[in-house]
Amino acid sequence: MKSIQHKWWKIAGVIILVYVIAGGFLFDVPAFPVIQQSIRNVYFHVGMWFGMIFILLISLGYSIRFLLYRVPEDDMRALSAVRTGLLFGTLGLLTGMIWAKFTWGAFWVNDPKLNGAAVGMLVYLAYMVLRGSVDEEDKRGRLAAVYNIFAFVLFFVFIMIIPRMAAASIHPGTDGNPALSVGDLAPEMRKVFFPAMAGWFIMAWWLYSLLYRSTRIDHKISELKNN
Amino acid sequence: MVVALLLVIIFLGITAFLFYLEKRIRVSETKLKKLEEEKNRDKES
Repeated sequence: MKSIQHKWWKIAGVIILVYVIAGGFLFDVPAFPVIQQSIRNVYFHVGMWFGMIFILLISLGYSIRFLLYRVPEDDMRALSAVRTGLLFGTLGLLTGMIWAKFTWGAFWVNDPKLNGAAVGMLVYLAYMVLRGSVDEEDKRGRLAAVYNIFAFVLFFVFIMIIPRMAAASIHPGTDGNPALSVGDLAPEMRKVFFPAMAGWFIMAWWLYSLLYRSTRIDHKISELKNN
Repeated sequence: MVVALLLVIIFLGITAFLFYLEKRIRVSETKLKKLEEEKNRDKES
């Protein structure tokens, strides 16, 4: 019974995403020109991307907390969140590339939004490289936390501000948030889209918590070995 | 229909693996806690 109490939100997330996969492929969607049936990818591509932004925000929060209180667990939480964010970002890019192939004819087109997303991901990959280059734990934590704040601001600039300043982007959402702006999403798609958001957020949180717990175990083992 | 079913099966497989991982992590956490308690007891005595 206690196990179910701990697991209920994960089971709920799994049920929601099973519904999203089934509904996403089987429910009717409007017949948009060019995009056609590929519009169904919005439940996956946008969901994963928003899941990534959600978990990167969590990472930002823990980095700020680490700088304020210097608790090593906060640094581990920030690192685990970035790892989860990178995984979701990669999945978001891959689903986007498949979508691009079917609508724009190529896996990658020279578009400010797409290039911004790729550069944003590289900024977070550099966070991992930076962590790997410092041996001292506290110094590594402080450097990584400062860089993480900088990385989130840069990421925001690359995916939200620069594409809006550029004259032409074929990626939707230049005027607002993709799929959330009024008129972006057909009403019949909302019954799958909003659960998809919830499902991907839960999945991101679950993966992050698993990564954090395993990182903490590694840290404790090395502490026990050293003492 | 077939694609949806295939994706659901793959997704359920991934989540089953995550539940298994979580169980392994919980076991490791319990073992570590015991180890830490033993080490603290040794230090005190």
